[in-house]
Order: sequence, then C-alpha cells, then structure tokens
Amino acid sequence: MNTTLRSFPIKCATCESLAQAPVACAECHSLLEHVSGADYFELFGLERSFDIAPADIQRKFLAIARNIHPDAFVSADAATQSVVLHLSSAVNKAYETLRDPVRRAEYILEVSGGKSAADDKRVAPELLAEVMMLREEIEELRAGGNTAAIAAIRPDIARKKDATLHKIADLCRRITADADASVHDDLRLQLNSIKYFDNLLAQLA
Amino acid sequence: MTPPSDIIVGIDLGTTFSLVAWCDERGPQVVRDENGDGRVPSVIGFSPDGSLKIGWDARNHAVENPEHTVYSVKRLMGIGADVLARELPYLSYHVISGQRDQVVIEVNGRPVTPQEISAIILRELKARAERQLGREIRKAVITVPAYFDDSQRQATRDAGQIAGLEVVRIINEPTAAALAYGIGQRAATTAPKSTALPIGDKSKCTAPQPVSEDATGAEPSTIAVYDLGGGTFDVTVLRLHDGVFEAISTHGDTHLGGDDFDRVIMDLVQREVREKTGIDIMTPATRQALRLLSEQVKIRLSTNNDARIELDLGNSGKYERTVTRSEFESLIAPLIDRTIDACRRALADAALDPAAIQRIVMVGGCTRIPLVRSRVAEFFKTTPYTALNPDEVVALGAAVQAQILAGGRRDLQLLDVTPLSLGIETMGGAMGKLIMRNARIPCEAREMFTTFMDGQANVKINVLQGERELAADCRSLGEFALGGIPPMPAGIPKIEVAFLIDANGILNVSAREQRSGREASIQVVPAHGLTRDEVRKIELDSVRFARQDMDAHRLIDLRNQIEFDAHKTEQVLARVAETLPREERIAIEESIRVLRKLSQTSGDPEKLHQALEQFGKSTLHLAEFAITRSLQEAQATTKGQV
Repeated sequence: MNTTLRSFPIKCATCESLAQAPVACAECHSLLEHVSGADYFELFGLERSFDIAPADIQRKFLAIARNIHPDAFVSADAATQSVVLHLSSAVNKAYETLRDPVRRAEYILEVSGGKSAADDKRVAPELLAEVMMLREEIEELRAGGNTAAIAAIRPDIARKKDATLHKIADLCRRITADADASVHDDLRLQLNSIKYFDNLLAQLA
Repeated sequence: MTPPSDIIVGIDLGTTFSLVAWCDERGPQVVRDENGDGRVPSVIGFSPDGSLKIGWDARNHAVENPEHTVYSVKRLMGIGADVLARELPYLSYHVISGQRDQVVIEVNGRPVTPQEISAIILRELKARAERQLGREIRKAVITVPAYFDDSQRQATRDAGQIAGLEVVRIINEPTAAALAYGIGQRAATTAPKSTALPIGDKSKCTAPQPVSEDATGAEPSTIAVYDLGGGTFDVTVLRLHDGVFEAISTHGDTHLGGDDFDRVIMDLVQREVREKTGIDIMTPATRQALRLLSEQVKIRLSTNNDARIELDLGNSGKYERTVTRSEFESLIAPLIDRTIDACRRALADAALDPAAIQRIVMVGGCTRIPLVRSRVAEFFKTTPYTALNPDEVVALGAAVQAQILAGGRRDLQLLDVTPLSLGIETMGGAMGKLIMRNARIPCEAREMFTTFMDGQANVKINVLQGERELAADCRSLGEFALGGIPPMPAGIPKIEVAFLIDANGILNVSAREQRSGREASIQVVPAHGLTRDEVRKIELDSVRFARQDMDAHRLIDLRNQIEFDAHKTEQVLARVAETLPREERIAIEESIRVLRKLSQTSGDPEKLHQALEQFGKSTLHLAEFAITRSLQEAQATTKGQV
C-alpha cells in the first residue's frame, strides 16, 4: 500500500512504541486506525499481561498524552485537529481500560476471544443467594436505623470483592492462546460477580 | 512564537466578580483598574436612556436602579425553568422563561439572554485588557465551574462569541487554580530565596513552602482544590507530576456559593421583618439593599464576632439586629455540609482516603469564612492552603493555560475529566450511559441506531447528562435528529453515532449510516440554550446594539455639551449685560431656554447636534462682542499699568 506519511509532531522522547507505530496517512489516517483498533498493551509498548505496574502505564500514558493532546494543536488546520481529537480520545480510553484492574481483565478476556458481559450474564448461583441475603439484611438494618451494624457489613463485602479480584488476576495469568475454554468462562463468571459487590458497596455508601 | 496581535487572555467569568489576566515573561498578570483592583463586579446597570453601567459603577448604583441592575447572571447560564424557580425569589430584576425553556431577562422591555449579559461583561474585560496591553484582543480562554454541564459550557462559549472573542478553550476553574498553584510552587522551589512568588497574596503566606513538597517536581503529589465561589462550588482531585496536571475526579454544585450564604441572612431578615411588622419586604429596591447588606454582614463575620444590620423600612420604621458569628455559622452549616459531602464523593471516585491528599488549595472568596476553613481542615485532617489570593488565582491559571495553548509553555500540560456521565434515553425511558463521569477528556463513545419503520428517514436521539437511572431525572442536552437516512426497510439501516466530548468538556455528535457510508446530518435543538443560528444572529445584533449603545453615549455627551455651552453663554451674557443691545439679550436668553428644553425632551442625538450647532451660530455675535470687550478691557488695564 502506498501511504503518504503525515508529519504530526507526535514523536515522543520517552515512549518508543508510538514512535514505531505507523504514522498517520494523509489519506486514510492510518495512525487513527492503528490507535483505535490497536491492542492497548501494544499501544503503550507493554507486554500483554494482567500484572503491569500502575506507575508504568501512567508514565507511558503521560508521555503519549502530552504529545497528542488537542492543546498542542490549537493552531493546526481543522483536519489535523479532528484527527488529534479522535486520537487522544482513543489513547484516553486505552489508559482508562488498562489502569483499572477489572476493566483490564475485561479487556484481556475480550482480546483473547472470551464472551462479553452482554453475551454471558451468568454468575455463581451461591453468589446470587448470598447477595439477596445481604440485601435483605441491609434493608432491615436500615429500617431499624442501625447504622453501626450497616457500617460493619462494609469491610466484609470489600473482603469478598478483594478475594474475587485475586481470582480474576489468577485467571488472567492463565489465559494463553491455547488455554482451556473453561478459563475464559470462569473469568467471565468472576467478572460478572464484581458488579454485584459494587452495587452492594454503593448501597452501603 | 505567537504574533503579538494573537495574544490569548485568560478570563475568569465569575458569578460576583470577573477578571482578565495575561502572561508575559514575569508570569501570569491580572489586569487591574486604577485602584489596583483586578476584580470587575459581574454587574450591569441598564439606564432608561439605553446607556450601560458596568462593574463597580453598576454595583454602586444597584439600589437606585434595582429592576435594571443585573447580577449573578452566571447562575442563569444554560439552565431551565426548574432551576430558575429556585433563583427567582432572590433576584430584583425580571426574569422570564423564553422559548424552549431558555431563561430570558427583561431589560427596558427588551428580552436579553444570560449569554448576552455575560457577553457585555466579557466585552468590558476585553476592552480593559486591550487598554492595558495596547493591542487588539481576539482570543481568550474562559473558565467555568468544573461541575458545569454541557448546556452551561455551551452558553459560556456562546457568550464569548457574542462578545467577539474566539474562545480557544473552556477550562475548569479548579484545574486553572491548580495550574496557577503548581507553577507558583515550581517557581518557589527553583527561584532564589529572595525572589517573590509570582502569584498569590504573599502577605498571607506565613511560611515559605517546603522544598520537599514541590508540586511539580519528580515526586508526584496529590492535591485537592476546594473552590467555593460566588455562586458555584467545585472540588477537584488532581495529581501533579513533572508539569502534568492530571485531574482524577471532580464533584460540585453549580448553585452553591457565596450568594447562598448571603441568602440565609436575607431569609432571616425577611422572616423577622414579616413577624414584626407583618409586611413582606419584597420591593426590588429593598431586596437589592438587603442583598448588599447581607453580603457585607457575611464578609464582616469572617473577621468579627458580630455584625449589625440596620434596615430602613420606610413607614414601618426600622429593623435593627445584631448577627453573631456563631448564629451565622449555624445557618450556613448545612451549606458547608453539602460541600464536604461533595469532597467525600470526589475522593470516593478517585478511590482515595482524605489522608492521601497532600494539600488542599483553597479558592474563591468564600474560603475566607473561618467555618469553611475549619470544616475542610477537619475533613482532610490537614490545614488547608490559603496562601493564594482566592479571588485571582483562577484568572491567573486561565492565563497560564492560554500561554500553553499559544505554544509558550511546552513544559506544562493539563489533563482534565468530564464531571457528569453522558448517555442517551433508551427504550422505556432509562438512561443508557455511554461515557462515565470522571472520564478523561477528550473521550468518545460510539453507539449503533436503527429505524423502526420502513423507509424512515429520521431518527431522534435524546442526549442526557447525569448520574440518575431514569432519563426523566437526568438533564436533557437536547434532541439530536439524524437525517438523510437512505430509504431502507425497518431495522436495516445501521447508523453509527459518535459522541465525542472535546477538551472543552463540550459534546460533539457525528453520525454515519454504515450500509451506505453516508454521513448523516444532525440537527441539534438544545434543551436550554441557543441554536448556532441564534448565536450568530445575536452576534450580528450585538453590533447593532453596540451602535445603540454608542448613540446613548453620544446623547449623554451632547447633553453635557449643551449644558456647558448654555451655562457659559449665560455667564458671558451677565458680563456684557449693560452694553449688549436689549433685543439681542432677550433673543439669546430665549434660545438658551429652547435649547435646554430640547435637551431634556429629545432623545435624538442628530437633532441635539444640529440644535447645538445652530446655537453656536446664533451666539457668534455675542462671542465676538464679548471678546472685543475683553480686549478693550485688557488694553485699558495694560495702559493703566504702564
């Protein structure tokens, strides 16, 4: 393919990966395509792994964000401004996905071919029963005005959420190209249950 | 480098005060008046003759002209009738609901939008900056409360356009404050000890800031900006590292500020007067007087333990009372609770404990209130940082951002977040969130839409902002109508709609029909704002009104000139009374009378101008006569001296 390279000053002193990425093509804006369709790990020059250091992602993100932020293109032509706008949106999205453990795990599951939350809404039946019980308990305590007891439930749920996060991290580490499909399904199950814990925590806030 | 004519100023368009600042080699500077004050009261007085009073002048005449003095207009920007209902009891000017739920102010029988009022303030700031810098100003960065929604941001940008300014960027007030704070810290740690801090009120800075807490050094630091202004409250949590100012979360209330603190005193006095006299002090003039009085009481109670209120009730006598600080504090405690609650939410969204915040930067005039400071200290378990001038820091930060945008500061970078979740109304009236609050901006979400009927050419989307589950409980940004969909059976078209929040925090929507690849057209009918066409029309109209304003100005000048000339002629007439022929004296006296009468009755500058010229001609003989007389007298005295 004959591509004319567009010279955005997006070269970054600290982040190699973006500098090596295909630079935007004047016709098809291939950089934009690359970024929006890119593997987020690849985009930040990181190994595809659940265990990435938050400081690492942040450093890479800041280096890229600085160079493609619309602030640096205020006097550029409208077409460039539009490309930069989409580009920084895509980088922001990649960053927000990777920095949050749950979203990172969701992303790992997605790119390794697992089902999305919309396709598979299952959770462990025992979790459902437990959540229902907890909800009732909270309602009762609230009706009785027992705020101390309500506050005491919180650490318990936070601990359960934490344990689930540990399972998620473990499953993410076991996901490889030739991993058994059960790993994917199990990860989906655990990720789905996180929402229940979050809702409970929100109810207690 | 930026050409000199393209300097970008930073503007803090505040509820009570507005400021304009710029950056030069010394750093950010506020444009000041002859008294050294950078604050321009966001108050406009409209006189019946069409002339305007802006700023201090308008504020000082607010009680005489209560129904035509417009203040706190920021609280009306981009809002609907629901919010307006809460504001009305405290406004002495006339506000009505215009078309499409747009709030409109009635001035001299003419409907004026809050955007136009704000534009008058912006034009004044622009003129001040032009006088100070000696060059034309065309571009500005304008700050808004972080918690402003899309409609309020749009309204602010529209005001800029109406004022003839290209609004290069809308930035959030707490983020701007953080920027000013950060560069101050940077300068304090890198500059020699003897060098003064470039920003802030040094007199209040009791101790030099320790080097170890360098906000922009290699070690990242986490700060919170607590911004309690005249009408709005924001709290933003930011991480500062190596020149990057990264907002993590923000929360606030766009109708909570100093105005509300004044209102608790207004409410108290109104209630007590009603109890005592049975009358409702609701005339615009008393309301205005009471408002200004309440503001003074509030300010006084920041330094004194009590403040006296004396209100003249006309025939009903006098209302007198002392308000103690503790009484005031018990009245404002619920309001401060709301700000602390917002702090709690912002921290929860940032997943941080209060102890993780290394510094609380206090911004806005209301952070001078002792109870505000102590409550903030109590919540964050650290003494808040009050060394910056809370009135100026936002404008200074805006000027720094302007310099960044002009390419003058590549070492600094702001990364901000959107304060509210954005979504669309889904089937059954639910709010389907597409972009979550505190997402980094710019951010984009895409959603597929299709048709329900064969050959349907239009699809309507209700775009929402807010955190509630039901569409009815969220703020509608307006109806987006996708048009130009090629005729296809129901459900076949695939229209991809991209919702993009840009770096201003303002929504941009674009759509494409995937099967035909055609760009779909989008018509936006804002729920609480002006359409693009309306903004353009007002912008053009404002040129016309500027002419009217000029006419009004000219009228005043002419009337002054007429009085001056008439008075002068009378003086001359008195001097030559004995020597001037009687008929001529009577004729001139008559023409003075006619001229004065015309000056009082006519509002046509052309007529007055002609009359003044005619008067000049008719008194020409008198003038010559008087000069001859003076010369004769002068010669006589000279002779006498020799």
